Amino acid sequence: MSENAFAPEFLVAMFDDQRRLVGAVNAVRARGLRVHDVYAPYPVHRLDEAMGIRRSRLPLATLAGGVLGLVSALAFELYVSVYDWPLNVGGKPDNSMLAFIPVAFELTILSAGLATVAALLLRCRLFPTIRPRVVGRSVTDDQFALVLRWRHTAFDPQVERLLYEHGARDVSRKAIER
Amino acid sequence: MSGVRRVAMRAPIALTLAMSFAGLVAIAVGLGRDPARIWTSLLVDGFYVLSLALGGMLFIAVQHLSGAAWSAGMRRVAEAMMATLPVAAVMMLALFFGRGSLYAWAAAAPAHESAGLASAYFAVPFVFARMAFFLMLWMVFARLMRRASSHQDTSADPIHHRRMVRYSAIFVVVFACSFSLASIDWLLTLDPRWTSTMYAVYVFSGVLVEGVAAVTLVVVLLHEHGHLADVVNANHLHDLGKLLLAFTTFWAYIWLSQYLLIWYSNLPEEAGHYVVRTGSGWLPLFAVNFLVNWLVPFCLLLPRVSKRSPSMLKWVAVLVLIGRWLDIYLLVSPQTMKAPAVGLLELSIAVAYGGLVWHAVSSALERRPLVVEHDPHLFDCLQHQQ
Repeated sequence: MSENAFAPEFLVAMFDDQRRLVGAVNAVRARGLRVHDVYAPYPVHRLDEAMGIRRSRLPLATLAGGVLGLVSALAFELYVSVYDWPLNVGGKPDNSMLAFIPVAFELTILSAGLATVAALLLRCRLFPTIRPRVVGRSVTDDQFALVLRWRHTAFDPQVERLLYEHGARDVSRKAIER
Repeated sequence: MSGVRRVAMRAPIALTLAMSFAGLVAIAVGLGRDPARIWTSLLVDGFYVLSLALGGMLFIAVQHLSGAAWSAGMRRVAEAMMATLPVAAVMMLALFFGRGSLYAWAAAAPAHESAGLASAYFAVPFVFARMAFFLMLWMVFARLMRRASSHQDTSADPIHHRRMVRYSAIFVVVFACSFSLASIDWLLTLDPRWTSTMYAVYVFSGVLVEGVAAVTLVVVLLHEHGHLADVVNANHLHDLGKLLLAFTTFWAYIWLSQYLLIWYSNLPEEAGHYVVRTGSGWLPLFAVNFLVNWLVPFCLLLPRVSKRSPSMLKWVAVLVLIGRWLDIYLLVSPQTMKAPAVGLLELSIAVAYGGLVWHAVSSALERRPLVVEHDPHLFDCLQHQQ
């Protein structure tokens, strides 16, 4: 484990199953402590509420992408076929809005989807070359980790006992690998 | 009460009789004055009730085939909707007496001698024999599904669940073929010179929407009256809202797919269908149809909060159910009537049919426990989270 001088230090509690983990999260928060993060091998039901995480704003990115796709597709089609290069196709009027709908529909969905993925990757800081921060390899397999900031817990000697009481298998102070 | 919770919700028999009587009076009065108008209304309402029953069956089949757990607790509601199938069957078969007012193929004189195969296919006895066969076929499946579901209540043997899944798989295939032919027989041939390869899909998409909207409405109403409290919460409503949003959009997609191609190619033999409907008289209804069936429900259901709100879901479901009636009305009436007529006659007949549906569904709900038992998905349904 590479010890970085600036790396924040953490109190890491490992759990064997998700029920104990959620119970411990509730207990820690009931004590007025802030949960720094939780690592789990799969999404755990009720964990978000237990951690007090507010709802994701990702749908806003989807909506913005969708509206942008819709408006830009319609604007482009109108510009091309009405202002820039009108063509007589089957005697239809230049502004045949109905014929623009399929392209606008596809672009709405495409840009809504791409915007969602892009927003997710940016917000989660998932770029190429980034080094993942993981408390240990076991949280990608069968272990759950509850992580608290050391400085929040340093003056509360009861925290470690509390974590053990709620079924922690191991509680240790460490820096998270970068 | 012996552990099993049953609900007293049957429609008052006097009210049902009064509603049916209003319809009978309207039919008697109307047949003397304008038979085409009455038979139009009977076809529209009969097909509407039929769509309700088939929508319920499709809802169940789709849930079984996708292995959905969230809807296990509300399956009885969709099963109760199947109880309108015999009512709808009588309504549709009664059209035999009004065929002359509706269908060109029922006219006595064989106008096109050259079209030998078509005139054999649309010989009156064959068409109604087909109708009876299709209705019987669907009733057999409804009975099989209901019986397996009832057996499951008394026995935890997984065979019942497997049976329901198997019936669902066979039903969707049988339904796709039989319903396509039925929609051609009963609706498309109202305009014998017009065809559209999208037509059966279009009618089918409406059936799906109607089924989801009706299940949503009944579930919310039951929930408001304190039933289904254990098996339905905001997470289950959220899924119903998503289905409603998705299927109204599917309907709009099919609507546009049919309209766009006909408008684009603008061929005389195809465009007539829409020339009538966008002409004077019908255009307002044609425009309202698209708003009510897609644009308004889509905008209302898009935010997450509205899919989780019982009152919002209820009113959107009511709106969509009205929209379904209008959509079927627009498939039928422009072929049989000169101008739209929605008045006291139509309203009375709709009220009568509504009374019969209410009675059939409520007594079906009352007959059995409101929540299935021993379903392998029930535990997951109770734990359901978004």
